[in-house]
Amino acid sequence: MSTPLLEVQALGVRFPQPDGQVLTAVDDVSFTLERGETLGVVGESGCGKSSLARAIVRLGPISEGSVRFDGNALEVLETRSIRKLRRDLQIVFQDPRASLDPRMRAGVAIEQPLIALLPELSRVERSNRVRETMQRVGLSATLAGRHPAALSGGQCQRVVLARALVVGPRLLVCDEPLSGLDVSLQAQVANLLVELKRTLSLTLLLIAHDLALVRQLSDRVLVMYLGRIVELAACDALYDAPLHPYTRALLASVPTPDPRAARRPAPLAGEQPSPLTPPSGCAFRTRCPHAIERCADERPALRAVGASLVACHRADEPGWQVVGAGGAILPTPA
Amino acid sequence: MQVREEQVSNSGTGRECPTPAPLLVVEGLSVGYPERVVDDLSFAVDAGTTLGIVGESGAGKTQAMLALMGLLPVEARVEGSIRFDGEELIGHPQRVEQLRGRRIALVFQDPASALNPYLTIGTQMLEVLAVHEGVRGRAARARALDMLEAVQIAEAPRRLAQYPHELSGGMRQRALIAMSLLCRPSLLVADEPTTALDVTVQAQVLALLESLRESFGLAIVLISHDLGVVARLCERVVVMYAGRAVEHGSAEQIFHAPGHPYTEALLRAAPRLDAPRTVPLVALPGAPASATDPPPGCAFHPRCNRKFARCGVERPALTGVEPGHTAACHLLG
Repeated sequence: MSTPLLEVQALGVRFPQPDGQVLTAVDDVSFTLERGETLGVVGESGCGKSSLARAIVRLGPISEGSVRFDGNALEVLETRSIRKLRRDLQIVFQDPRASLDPRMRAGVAIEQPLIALLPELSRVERSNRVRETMQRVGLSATLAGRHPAALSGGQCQRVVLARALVVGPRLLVCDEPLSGLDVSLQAQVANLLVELKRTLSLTLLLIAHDLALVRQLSDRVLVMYLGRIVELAACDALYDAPLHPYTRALLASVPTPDPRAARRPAPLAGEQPSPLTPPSGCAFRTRCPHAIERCADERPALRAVGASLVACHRADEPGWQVVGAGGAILPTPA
Repeated sequence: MQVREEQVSNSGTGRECPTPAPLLVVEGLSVGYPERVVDDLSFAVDAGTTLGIVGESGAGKTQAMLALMGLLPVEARVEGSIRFDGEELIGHPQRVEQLRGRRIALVFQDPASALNPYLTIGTQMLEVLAVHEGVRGRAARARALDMLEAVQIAEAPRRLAQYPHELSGGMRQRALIAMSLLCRPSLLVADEPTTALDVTVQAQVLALLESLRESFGLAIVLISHDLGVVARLCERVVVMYAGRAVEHGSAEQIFHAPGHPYTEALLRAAPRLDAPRTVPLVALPGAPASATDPPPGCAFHPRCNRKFARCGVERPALTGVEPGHTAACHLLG
């Protein structure tokens, strides 16, 4: 139990462009994931969350750094050996309907990973496993014969989850598993994830843009901006006392479902700069209301402030932590 | 009487009507193919205010919006009444065509697919003015620039020469809003206008819509599944389920004293940042009912935790909860 299940060290993912430029999707990202833990990864589109997820399950490139799963380095594995990993490492993508073959019945789709990854199982064993897994994700056995078109969005999401879980993975990476679902179904699938995590002692890497849902599901939360970690903290700490100005802005941007809530101006102007030409120093400084000269000159390292890790030069200034519940109020340090 | 006269002269419209009628009045709107996907929908929107239409997929929100815009396919059967500025629109497709783009504008969900990738922003904006108002050349360009500035797009002259792919997602949505406002419409219909945007950019676009409503006196019909967005922008809210309005009231009433179990369940199901986290979430069982094949009685009853015998038999009508607030639930008597 001493080694973490997943250890990501100085991971970089870079995509050379046809014009010679290099797009840095993930830059110097390090974190660990303990067994049974759920780590939420949040950030806006283009921040590198999906590239990170793909690199971890080896569906995308790893340009530098290392990813160790249960002590084994993944970045050195050749394509053939990656296959063995698939039993332990599964991923669920955003659009469940697009993740399913429209001509393949649900039961057959869920059986496929067993045929590919556990060839030693007999036909009967396979169909037992499929039935068990369907039950676990709340799919009635009568749906096994249906094609995706005859299933609702929520049911498709459960089929996709069942297909990932049927091989008994130890780490499940979910890339936006709830977006695209209706509010009432989101809550169902979120509760299902919590339940599965408990009964199967799953470790979960949950990538999502919905900050409220991530808060529901995560033990710790990692915030990314332009390929880098800006804050990594225990869930309650991150939501109750966020330290990075970007985390604060993200939280303050979420509209409150209450007409009595104060109408705040948008906390941030502009948008995330292009990852092809990131700003010098702190990548967030161009939108940061608290940027100082040092932010342009020196890239802030991810460092411990209190119990959190944060990449901001100013996070340890006196008065910095004075924020309201939910990080709603942007501080004005003296 | 004196007060009324003052109001009329102050408003400067010269209209004779002392208390102006709502800008948009929808009554008993139904859309069918021929099974009904929108059934007996009624609401009204005053100038300068925002009405939100909330519901899950298949609730009929988008079909109602297409009916408003006269954009339904020919086989759709539309009944009821849509009066815009006192004028009936149903059965007058040519009139709708004249109004659309001029006085009634539309903003779609996905700015990337709503813009033509082969034409510059400028070409697309100038085309709007040429088609609708016959304005061309320098005058048109000046108006396009003004409007880009009104939606807070920096370096407007440069943007006119750019193609959609050269703009960021937030900028594209602003450009689309600018385009829709070029002819100074009095009604803006926005279908999930911020759903495709990141949360910090969504906050910017919501603030923009709010300020445009004030500066242009716009009425907005906002279609959204996001209760936070609706609470932020709307004065009045219609909650739809399986093609019908199940509740209709002020935002205050809907969010703080919901009269329908579905509205209540929706509010509880969405996790929120301004409350302690609750695990598990209070999920609604089952999936949204289909509008074309709804369960008998109240379409929501199979998912309702407060149903009783009558709910499976008789469809509840919208009944008053308090002034300006109605809900379709047998619990209300």
